Amino acid sequence: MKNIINFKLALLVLLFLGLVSCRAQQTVAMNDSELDYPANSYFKDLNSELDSYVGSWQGIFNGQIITLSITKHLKRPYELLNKNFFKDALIVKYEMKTPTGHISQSTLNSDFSGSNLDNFIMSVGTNLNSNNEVNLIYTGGNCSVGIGEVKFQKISATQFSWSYYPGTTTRNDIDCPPGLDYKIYLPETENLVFTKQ
Amino acid sequence: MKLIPKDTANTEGKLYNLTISQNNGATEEKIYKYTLQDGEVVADEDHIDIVYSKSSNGNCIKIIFPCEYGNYHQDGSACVGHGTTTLLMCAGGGPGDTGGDGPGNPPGDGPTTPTGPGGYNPSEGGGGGSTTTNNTPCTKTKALVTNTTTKAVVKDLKDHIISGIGGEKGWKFNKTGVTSQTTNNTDHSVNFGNPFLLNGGYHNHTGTGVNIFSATDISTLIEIARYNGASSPTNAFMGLVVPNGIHYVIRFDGSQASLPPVGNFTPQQLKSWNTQQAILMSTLSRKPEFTEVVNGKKVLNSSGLERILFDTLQKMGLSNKVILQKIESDNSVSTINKNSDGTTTAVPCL
Repeated sequence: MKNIINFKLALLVLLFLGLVSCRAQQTVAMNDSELDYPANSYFKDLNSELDSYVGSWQGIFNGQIITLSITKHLKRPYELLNKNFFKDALIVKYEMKTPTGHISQSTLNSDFSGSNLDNFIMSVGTNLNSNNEVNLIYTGGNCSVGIGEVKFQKISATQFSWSYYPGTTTRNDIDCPPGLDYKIYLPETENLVFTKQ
Repeated sequence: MKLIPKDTANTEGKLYNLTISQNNGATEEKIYKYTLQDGEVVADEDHIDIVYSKSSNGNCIKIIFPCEYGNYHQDGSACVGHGTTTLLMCAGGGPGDTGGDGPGNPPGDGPTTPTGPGGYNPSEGGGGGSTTTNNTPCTKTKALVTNTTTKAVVKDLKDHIISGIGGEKGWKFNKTGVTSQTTNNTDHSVNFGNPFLLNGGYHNHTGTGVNIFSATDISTLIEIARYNGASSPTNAFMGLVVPNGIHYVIRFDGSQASLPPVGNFTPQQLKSWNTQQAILMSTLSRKPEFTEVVNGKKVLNSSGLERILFDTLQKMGLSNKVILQKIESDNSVSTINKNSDGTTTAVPCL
């Protein structure tokens, strides 16, 4: 009888530990909402929807050659609604080069470490508005100018389209001193085709 | 009303003067060009030309003129290149909060013939907005949004959105009493300039991005409140008009002592909070209770937008110091309160 009680107690402990472990880090689908899950949940790209975008891509806009270097980061930590989470995400670095070879803007060598979020492009999920799209956010340049949504849509194994929708920002002379560069360099357009290199 | 004299006017032998007048309900605006004789104005037909004239029957008129007519914009900021300044002049007075500082009745109710050129003097606005006996956030905003000038600004922003022209616009409610369009804007960015000079500001969003006040907007409000003086930091306001008829106002609702210290928000923090707004928008967009479909596109509804704002205020340490108010199409005002579960409730201002 005593052995049976000990066995049941052990089962309960295991079950409890399992629940604690589950709460500590729960792996859920990438597009689930953080509102529905506890802190430390891991929003995973279960269907590998992001993988086909990884690599180097090129497109041309207004004569400028745009190079995108896209990597997939697994279990990237982030904070939202005062809770820490993890998510699989695409990180997009880019370079804009004029026909004469002048680089107007480049983040190819940025490590985006610490608090450096200038000109950072990161995916936040897929299919927010329609199928076959990856949804990304661009943090903007100085004073967040240009912050907005970017959308990738796959055309083929070697091509996808880019759409960028900058939002509105405001500035004041204290937070955003005159004289800084407040120009948006990213191609503000829809359905710009990028080809895999 | 007169223009700032052009520094080089004497050497060019020309001087320009803007006049605004009202006649039987119609507002007339004219720009006169004086051909100087020996550096002096000669008030006869040979030396005065009307180079611009317009008449409107509404209470407000919008005046747009290029920078080359003066070396400074009407708010005192320097002209950059050959930009334009846009002024809004209304018959009904300025924002209610500002009392006697309001734009007031356009000067020059008398004859339209200019009596002579001279420097622009903002104090000529005269008149002033209505005063309130109960300075609560509700009464202040009710007075603000029913003020003729504010109604004209909101209509201008809504018309701009509807026009489909695209782009952002902003209006500065200057301490001088003049309401002027923001200048030196850049790509998708509205520049409010020096907050020291402002009582408040309005701008529009175009429907892309997060359609609620950003961390930078909130910081601008704080700076305006800081320079409003110890007695009236709560007069500071920022207004926002976005597609689908959404219209919000935020107000600082604390004492001068409760304002964050100067430089409290670093550029990195503001950018981080703005970015978190974008991430939260995508999260809320996956929940039906925070979205609606407008013109075939899924967008955040008021609940979603308000949740984003309160999250940002909490991160900035401004919970309970900044009030969010929603303005309906009939200009009725509601104060938006955050509930303990993160939802929001609109309490009408009676």
